[in-house]
Amino acid sequence: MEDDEASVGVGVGELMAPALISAHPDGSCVVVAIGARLRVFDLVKNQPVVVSDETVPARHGEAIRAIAFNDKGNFFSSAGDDKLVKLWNSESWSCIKTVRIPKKVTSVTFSKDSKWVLFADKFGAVYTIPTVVKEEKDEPIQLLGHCCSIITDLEVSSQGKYIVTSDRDFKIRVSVFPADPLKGAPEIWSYCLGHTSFVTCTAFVGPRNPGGQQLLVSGGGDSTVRLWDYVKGKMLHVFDTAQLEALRDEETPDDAARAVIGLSVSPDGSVVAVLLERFSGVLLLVYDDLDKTLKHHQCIVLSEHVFPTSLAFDVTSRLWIVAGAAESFESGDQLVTPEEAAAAEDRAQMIAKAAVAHVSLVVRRSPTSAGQDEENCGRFAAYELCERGSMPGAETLLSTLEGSRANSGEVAVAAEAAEQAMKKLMSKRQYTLQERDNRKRFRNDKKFEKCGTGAEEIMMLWAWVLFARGNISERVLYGQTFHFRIACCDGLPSTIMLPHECQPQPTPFSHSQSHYPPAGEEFDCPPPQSAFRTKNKEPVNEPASQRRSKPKKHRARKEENLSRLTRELEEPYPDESRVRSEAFDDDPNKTGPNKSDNDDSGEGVRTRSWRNSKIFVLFEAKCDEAIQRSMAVPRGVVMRTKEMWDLIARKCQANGVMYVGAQCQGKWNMLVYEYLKILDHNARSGREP
Amino acid sequence: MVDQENGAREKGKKRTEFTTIAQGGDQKGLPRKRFYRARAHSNPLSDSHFPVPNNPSECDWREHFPAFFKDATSKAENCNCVNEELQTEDRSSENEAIIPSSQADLKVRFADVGCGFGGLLVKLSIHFPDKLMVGMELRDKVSEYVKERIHALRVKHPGQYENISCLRTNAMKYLPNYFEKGQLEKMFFLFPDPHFKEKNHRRRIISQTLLAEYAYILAVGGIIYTITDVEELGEWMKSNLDAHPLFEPVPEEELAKDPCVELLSVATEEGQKVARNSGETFRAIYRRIGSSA
Repeated sequence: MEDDEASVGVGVGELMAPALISAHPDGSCVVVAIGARLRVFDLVKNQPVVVSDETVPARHGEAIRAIAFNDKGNFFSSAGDDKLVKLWNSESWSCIKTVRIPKKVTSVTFSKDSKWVLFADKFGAVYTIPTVVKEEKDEPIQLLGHCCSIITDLEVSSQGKYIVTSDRDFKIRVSVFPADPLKGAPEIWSYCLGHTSFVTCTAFVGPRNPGGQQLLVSGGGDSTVRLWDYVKGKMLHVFDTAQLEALRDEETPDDAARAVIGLSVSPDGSVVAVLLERFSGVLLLVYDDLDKTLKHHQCIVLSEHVFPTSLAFDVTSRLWIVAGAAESFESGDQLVTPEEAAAAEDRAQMIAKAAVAHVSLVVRRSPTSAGQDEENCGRFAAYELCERGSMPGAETLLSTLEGSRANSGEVAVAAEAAEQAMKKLMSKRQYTLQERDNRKRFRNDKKFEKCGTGAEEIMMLWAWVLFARGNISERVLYGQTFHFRIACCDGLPSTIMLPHECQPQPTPFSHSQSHYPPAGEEFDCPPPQSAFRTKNKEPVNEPASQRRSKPKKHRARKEENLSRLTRELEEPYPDESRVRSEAFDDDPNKTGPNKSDNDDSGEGVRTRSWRNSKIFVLFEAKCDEAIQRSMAVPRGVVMRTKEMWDLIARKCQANGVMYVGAQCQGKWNMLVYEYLKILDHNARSGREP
Repeated sequence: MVDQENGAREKGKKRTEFTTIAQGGDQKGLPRKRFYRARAHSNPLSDSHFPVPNNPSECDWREHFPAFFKDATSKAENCNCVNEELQTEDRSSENEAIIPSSQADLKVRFADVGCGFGGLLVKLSIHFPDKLMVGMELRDKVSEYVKERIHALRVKHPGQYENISCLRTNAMKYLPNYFEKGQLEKMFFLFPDPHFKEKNHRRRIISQTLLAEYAYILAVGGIIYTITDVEELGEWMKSNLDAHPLFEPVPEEELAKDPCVELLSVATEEGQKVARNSGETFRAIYRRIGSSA
């Protein structure tokens, strides 16, 4: 039921952007970003705020992925997949600056002096722009870069001395905040290395006294929350959420670790709220300043079964939690005209408008009821979930932030999809050695498939090969009397109808499938008859050359050369027998008869030249193979290239063309190459194919 | 005809040599490059699948430099395996004169990034026998070759080449996983991939963002050596190093005294190739300096 509604209400696509929440540093307002929209609620006046934007472009065209207030609370910034960074005045809620940057933004923050907005992108670079509004256009200045990794979170330390960036490659980097950001931040102070999966979020804990040093907490895909002395790059404590009994009893597969997806630290720096993947609640840890550890404090389960996507503490230690997601889509580079771009923006805004979220509030338990829990929670105050009715702003707040038709089912589905999308993006896929090997081996096959080994293409290819070799005339080709037909739709063996003048008389090509041994079995065919072979060679060549209406000079010369060449090549090679015996290693009985049989003709089996007749056979075998493969073999089951060519070679051998798989493959590749060359040439010279 | 026969015989001989090497029969012979040929490039941006240590402390250098770490290993393993013990003892008695392992510096100090077939490492090993140095190479076959080569050299010249080793890793991504802050004294970038297309400039091994990492792992006063035969890349590397506030060029007179500088253009296969064709090389040698702030 819920699923049905969800599919109607909000689309759950591959790309889901989670809803984000941020609280104003002085607690005067709360912002939820969902999809491409900001929903702002003023807690003092108890009313929604209308944001105004007169910059260009005037709205986000795709999902917002990062929002942040500065410490003073006079600026707010939003950025996301549309590659725009918007800077807002958070008093008037008007956009004061929009900067376009080359890549999608994943995280945004402010410098401690509020002079700079810093943002990190999906390609691992951190940029900055000044918050001061100037006449000239702002160009983002690159501060630092992680080499080809997605930056997941970006923070500036409380003293403003360091920039902390975490990435998908398990790293947390601490760079020195530069004296002059215009020159970049080239000095790396330390690395915090210890996570065994992607790092999702970072935050600072500990008392915020001016002289003191805060510590860093980070959460990652390995389900741990780690505590760091980030100046020394030293890990102080690991809190593994997978060890918690409280989370275990839920019906989840044991093997999948729950990634930590969000962290927020209370204003006094003592409580760390942690969001976990597939957990409908929030985990509260307390930071112990004495022994520098994180301890489990409380586990608060939300009233409804939704998976939170973002959280934020405000100045009064209220914890705002939002669950929800909006569909994001790749508009990408297809948007050429402004109209198209506007349409895409409209769509993004519509999706965002329809998107629903679920907002909850966790507050410190009032002193009256705190007495009984005193023992459990020690010297840290206990938290409890605030009733929806008693939230500040009550109904208006919820309807503003959650959207019109809040429905926990929809929210849960969307949020889960967002989690999965995040995990898919972040986690590194593990391939077995076998898979790696296979990929290497079949990489070239795919290339050939691209240039077409479908039946139709093979037909055309063959026509062109024949034409290029001068076996059929242009007249025939252009007069469209030339056509091949193939009966492959009903799974019958293919039959190639050759043009009349090319049809060899006692043709080996109109045979039935029964000639072909099934794959894998030992092949068993009558030894080729030499008389038949010599015969079938001539008709292919002769009529074609006779019929050529006006043979061009060079064509004639080429023909001559070709025939000379073939004559030469027909001379038996001394080492041919070696090749043969190798080819027939598995079947020594066959070699004897073949040899004796062909003593008179010599070239019957032993020839190396690829006469047209033989190419026909190879060609047809390959055709059959391609058709069979496309129909019989289910997708995903792949045959090794070598096996395939061995099979084709056997088919050829059954028709008297004695080559091994490698030879067939080589020839085939040459033919394809030749064909492509002709196509290229035609494309350049403007001749129709 | 005779030549052909000789050639065939030669081939057969080589093959048998190889098989014996591969089977571990004749360890004295050096591995042959042609059995370790690989694609010229490996994508440095793709996700790696080889194991990478989580941080420098997890990095086990003992297996790379057994002669240097023999005290540590013998203590740790407590002489469990008699054979192994015998072997290490044998080697140690031979090495005693050359490596005073108890006082040796047990941290890797030199890194050759993109070491290729290891020409520079082998030459450097003789010049600096008491410094541990490691080559980093992304192509697995090539790094296998270098490992085999070093192993063979160690067997052939007992007591020498104990201070070099090779890692298969992606230096663009994982340098901080191997080295601590300020650990290295010298870094070498010899004839790196030029990556001409502008789209691929981010794959170049010298760039502003990567120089920040190199500055992090280099000690103050450490030197970064780069050389290339591509003028465009030479200018790129020079301009990037110039632009970085933590590097300053090393003056010419110092370069004349530095034994490494001469090796840059002659030690590697690539350098020899350039010399053969009497091509020009462009080098940029810079020192890591402390930050002014």
